[in-house]
Amino acid sequence: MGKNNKMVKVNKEKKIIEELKEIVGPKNASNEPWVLYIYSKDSSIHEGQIPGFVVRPGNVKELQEIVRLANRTKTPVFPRGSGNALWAAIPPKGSIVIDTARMNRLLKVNKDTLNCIVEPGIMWAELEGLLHKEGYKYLVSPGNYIGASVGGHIASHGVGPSSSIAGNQGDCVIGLKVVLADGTLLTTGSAAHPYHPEHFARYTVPYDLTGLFVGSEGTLGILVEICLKIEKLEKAVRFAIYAFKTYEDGCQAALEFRETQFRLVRLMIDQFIPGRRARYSPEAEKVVATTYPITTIVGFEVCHESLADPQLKVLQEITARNGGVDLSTLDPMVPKNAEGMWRETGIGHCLRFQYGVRTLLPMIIPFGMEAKFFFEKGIEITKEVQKKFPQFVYSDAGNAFSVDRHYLSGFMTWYDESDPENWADAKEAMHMFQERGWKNGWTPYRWGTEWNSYLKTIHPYYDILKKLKKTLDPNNIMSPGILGLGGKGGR
Amino acid sequence: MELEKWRKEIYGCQRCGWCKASTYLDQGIEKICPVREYYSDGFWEHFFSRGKMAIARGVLENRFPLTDDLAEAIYMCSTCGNCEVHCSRNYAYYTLKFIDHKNNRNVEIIEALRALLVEKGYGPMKNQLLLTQSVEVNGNPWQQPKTTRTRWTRKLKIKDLNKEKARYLYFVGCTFAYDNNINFVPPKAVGLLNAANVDFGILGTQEKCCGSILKRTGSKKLFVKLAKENIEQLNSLGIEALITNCAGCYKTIRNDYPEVGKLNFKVMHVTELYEQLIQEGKLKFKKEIAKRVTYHDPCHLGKHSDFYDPPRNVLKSIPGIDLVEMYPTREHGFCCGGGGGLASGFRDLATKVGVAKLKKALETGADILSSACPFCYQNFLVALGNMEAKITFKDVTELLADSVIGS
Repeated sequence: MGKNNKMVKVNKEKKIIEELKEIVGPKNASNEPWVLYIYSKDSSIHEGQIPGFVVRPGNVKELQEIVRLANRTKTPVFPRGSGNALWAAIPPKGSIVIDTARMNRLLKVNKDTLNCIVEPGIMWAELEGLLHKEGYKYLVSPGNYIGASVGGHIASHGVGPSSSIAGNQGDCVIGLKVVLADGTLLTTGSAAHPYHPEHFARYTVPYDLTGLFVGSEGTLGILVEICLKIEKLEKAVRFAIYAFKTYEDGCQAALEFRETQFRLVRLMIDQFIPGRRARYSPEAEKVVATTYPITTIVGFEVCHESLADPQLKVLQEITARNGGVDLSTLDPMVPKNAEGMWRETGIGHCLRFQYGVRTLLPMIIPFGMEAKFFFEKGIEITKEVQKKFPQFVYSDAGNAFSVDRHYLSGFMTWYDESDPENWADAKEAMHMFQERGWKNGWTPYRWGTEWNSYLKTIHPYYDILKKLKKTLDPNNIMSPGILGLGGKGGR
Repeated sequence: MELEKWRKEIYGCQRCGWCKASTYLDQGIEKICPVREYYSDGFWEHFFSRGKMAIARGVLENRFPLTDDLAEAIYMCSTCGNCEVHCSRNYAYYTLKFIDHKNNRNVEIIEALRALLVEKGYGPMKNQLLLTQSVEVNGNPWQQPKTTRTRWTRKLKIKDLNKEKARYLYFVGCTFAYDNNINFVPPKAVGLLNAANVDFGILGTQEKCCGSILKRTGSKKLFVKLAKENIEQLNSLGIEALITNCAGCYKTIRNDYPEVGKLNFKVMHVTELYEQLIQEGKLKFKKEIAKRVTYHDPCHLGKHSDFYDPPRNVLKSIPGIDLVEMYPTREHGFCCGGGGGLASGFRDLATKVGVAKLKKALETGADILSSACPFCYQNFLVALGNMEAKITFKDVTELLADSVIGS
């Protein structure tokens, strides 16, 4: 860069940081190199990118002013929740990272309309604690509910192991307030009514603009207020693990479990892998390992204790009809262990960080009998990748949890980021998973920049996304590059 | 660079954010990081563990220059280790049983970063430098002369291990020896040991600082020099065990000294010995202490040394004491705010954390908050001075002495 251009750039950066500090206070904005480095990465396998600034607004007004400043100076912005995305949600170089951590309040609990209103930076675990005190709960617990923020999960339309009946996080959103690229504050849903600006219904004013922003990953606007559905805390839960001989039997049983319309809080299908998952008594494990290797973990909640046992009986009948066994008959601890796993954290299946840093490519597959093809294909793909990269520990793709009427599955491996060669190989392994998964119909769950080149091949879908982007963000300041919109980079 | 030693652990940070979680409902945990929760700007990434691990990684990769602000971020930490305990790497697949946090090295990484900052002239913090210099000059961090180290003995007759032999060395530590607010505790410990006819002695004015403050604040070279001198001195005594009622000295001598040199004696906390003496019938209770008591686990004893039961067993043995647990407790217990240089570097923050912990104690309905560490004692006294609370603080030694010897 020429000397003059460099001077102009430095002066521009100086002006921006001064203005940011004026908006949020000197302690809430920084462009110190060490601070920028910390905010350059998410939790994915991908390298980070150094932003230009990090700013922490404390309220909507400050956030609007930041966006207006960004628009004026044509500086990209990148809204950040908890920073633990797994899909290359990486700030553009030189951008203003808007850290929503200070906007972390539960604003209101509406018991009459069964919803709560929160700011985006509140953590799910914190929200759970606050709602529980009132006797309520939110519906979908994300995989990392301990570390994740509400805003980030909504902006990337997340799911969680408790999505079995509740569906996607987006299905649980009633309305939003969003700061658009020009600083305008948009209200969606019933709260847009000028004479009764309250969140209680989603599909009121025309177009589902709530749906437009859920899953937009910061490319169209920044979520500043979220209205979520809540329910009363359950009166009782029941858990069971049923094991089947084949994926065919297991998938059919899972479909029938879903067809009962019981309030499922967990429906997970899994292939037994010896030595990896010690959760049964030796007797039960022997049966699973030799004869019934496909297990389904099922949990449901009831609003009255008297409903629990009859519903459990129905599930047992479905199991027997599909040639399966109820593992609690072999190991009485099974229901307690399964429930314990659900209660202790929302994650369950994603940990094992003892093996190294985890990279996860979560992908969506259909429910019902079609899932059988995907599970078997997933295992085949994993074996193929494992053959080329035998040094990694893999979780095969033969497991998934249900999200209403589809499954969330995916490919996982663990690698060592301190070893550059190991890290590079892991990236290639994930690339193989991506390519083969995509070609076999696996749908990416969240996109970031990781799936840019794939998204660009979907027409006219991608063309419409570009048009929306151009309309709502003509200066291309909202997370350029994410979803392959308005920027370079990504896969 | 010492930081290189922890490369794998630094790069092993998954960036999941569990170290900042405020509520971990089903495990019964609340706050994780005292700085993140109680510092007004605590929600910056660098004020909790994940951000500090990122800094460590950036330092290894030479990504940015060191600065005073970066140093402040690294020093703004009580090194309690709660982040280590709650790290998602601790959890076994599927069973989600908490297994072990020994593979996490967050505290050591932070200490290594501090050592680097000191080496490069960015540390320690101003007030901590005074303490460090005092250790070098006076053999204690409190800027007190060596000669007054034995002021607490108040003409008590105690064996001088510089001249005689004994089974145990009672290592008093600088804080209990010099702090007038709490230097009544060592005489009580002596009273208990005498009551049980324990063969022990002290080093008197020849006792030097264990060096904990040096290690925690990054003066690594000074620490190693001091540790070597102390090891040589302590090894020459011919003792079976060193006993101390300072959690910091306990952790430093037991866990950190072996990296510098071999010890030819065991290291015990006094509560361990008290427990043993009570079981052997050598300590007899004369007075009932009819109080509800709750026990705070000092981080250096609890999280860092897996030492939870002896102090509780001692308290439970005292007739009349109704021991209740705070929530959360043991390895999940929240820091008092007094350790890791936080009190000397960031006094206000340390007080806020101490007040927060006191509120936890008050929730139990306890009359007395007890612990087994002089730094916790100091910080709780400051915290008590900042709030109206119907609770007093007493060390385990005090309560035991009250019952066995009388006030």
